Amino acid sequence: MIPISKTSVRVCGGNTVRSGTTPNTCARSSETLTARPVFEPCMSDNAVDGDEVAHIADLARIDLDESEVERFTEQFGEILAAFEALDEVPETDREADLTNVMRPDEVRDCLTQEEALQNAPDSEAGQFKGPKVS
Amino acid sequence: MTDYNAYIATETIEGDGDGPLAGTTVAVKDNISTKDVQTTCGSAMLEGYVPPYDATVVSRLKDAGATIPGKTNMDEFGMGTTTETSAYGAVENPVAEGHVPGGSSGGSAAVVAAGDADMALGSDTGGSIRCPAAFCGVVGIKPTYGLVSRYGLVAYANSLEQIGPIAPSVEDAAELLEVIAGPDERDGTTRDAREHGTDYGFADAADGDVDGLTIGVPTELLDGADESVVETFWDAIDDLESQGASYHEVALPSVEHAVEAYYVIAMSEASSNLARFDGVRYGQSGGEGNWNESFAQSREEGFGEEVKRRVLLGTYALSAGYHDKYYKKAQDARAWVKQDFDEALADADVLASPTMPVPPMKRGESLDDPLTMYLADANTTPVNLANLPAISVPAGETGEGLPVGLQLVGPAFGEKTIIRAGSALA
Repeated sequence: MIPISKTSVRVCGGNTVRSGTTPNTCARSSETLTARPVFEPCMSDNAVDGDEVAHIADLARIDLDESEVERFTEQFGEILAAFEALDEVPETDREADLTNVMRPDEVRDCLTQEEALQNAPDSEAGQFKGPKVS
Repeated sequence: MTDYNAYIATETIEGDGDGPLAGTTVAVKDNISTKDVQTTCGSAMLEGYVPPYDATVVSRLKDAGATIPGKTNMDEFGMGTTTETSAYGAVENPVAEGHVPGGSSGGSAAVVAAGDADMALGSDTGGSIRCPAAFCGVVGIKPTYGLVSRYGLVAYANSLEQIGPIAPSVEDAAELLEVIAGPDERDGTTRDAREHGTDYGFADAADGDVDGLTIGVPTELLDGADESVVETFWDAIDDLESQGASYHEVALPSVEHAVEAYYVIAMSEASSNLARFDGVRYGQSGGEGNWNESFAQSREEGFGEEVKRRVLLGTYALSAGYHDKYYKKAQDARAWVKQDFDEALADADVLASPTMPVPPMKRGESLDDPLTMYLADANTTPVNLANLPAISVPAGETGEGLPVGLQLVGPAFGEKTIIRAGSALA
């Protein structure tokens, strides 16, 4: 069992659980303690809260407005509960019938620089122009 | 021209000369790239996006002499079962007023059902050709994974999807499949059917001869289906039986988990595939701000709600601590489904079920309840997980006059078998 520090915060069933102050209600798989405590599996309850939805949205680089966060929080609880049925699936051998489909890397006709840039909102000196890296 | 909002654009693309499809119009779903003609995927993100190249299937249509009358409306990026999530408005069902045309290739099925195009191309990730074909009373084929090139198809869940035909008859659909099928050096997942014990003579296979055909009926795919749908399904099986086919019930216990496995895999792949839309190389610019702010702004404005929902759930399913619980279990389920189908198809030529467990939904009733919409894909998604070919043919109508589709599933590269069986009905 990995010791849990006072600052380790877990979210379970919409309640923020702080170890040491509240009894654990969820089974913990000890190997999965990560830098992002909100992502620890909570086997007994799939509900997510608004903070988790906002965090996932941040990871996926999608801004959400408040009403979207609210709706998604409710819907994700329901959808993840349905996904829970996958727990019953037995471990199954996956026959991989793999063939190498790589070809030699040869120069051939391709898009011109102009064609490649034609849909870019912004370009400069024949290159895509992206936002600042800061 | 259609007033069902089935086209996003009606720019005509002329074919070259005298091929087998000369004089034929083939509408193309708007997630299939057309050189110099806007391709939006039904998304505001790609409004104004003009591909600099043709998808392989589009080149083959042109070479075959087909005329493309326009790009058809669709659920945004193929994510939907009703063609109501398009940024360009919902599509109406031309044969069942007030009901959805099915999705995500709803525009393609609607233009064929309304007679505005002779045939159409759709794409099927979890039922997106078969569902609208069933709901609009036309024929749709989801080919074996690898039969048709995906080069130029804008990816949603690339391990599951195939481009396929929608047409008024099985013979027409088979003829269109014949034109688009075949290996492509630009898609490393394509296979040559001739190396898998068959050939490309699909249209000739539509001879309606089902004498001696054995049909397996997976009972799991009838459980929970709407009563009027089940009744129509058995009428179609009776019809095949009267023409010399026989049926027996089979068990596919794995399919009980298929729809969940499908959504976990599809959403996970979507979260990765749609990462390319950041407003830099194409798409709506996210404006000022730093890199992350600009991307998040572009994606907030460019993506609709269903796309956001799936990208977020996919991100969640793949994130640290959840990968084993969701994604790995879903891959186990996928392997299990494949095994089940292989075993059932060892004792039957084809497997039959209703294409959709429900008749076409009323417009507007699915959008607020995504889970119910996902569960409607229970009968189509197992086929994508197993990489198998399937056809949806009209089976009849419910008491209220709503179209019902019969799905026939064949072994890998068994297109000729399902085409022959389907052609006994349509």
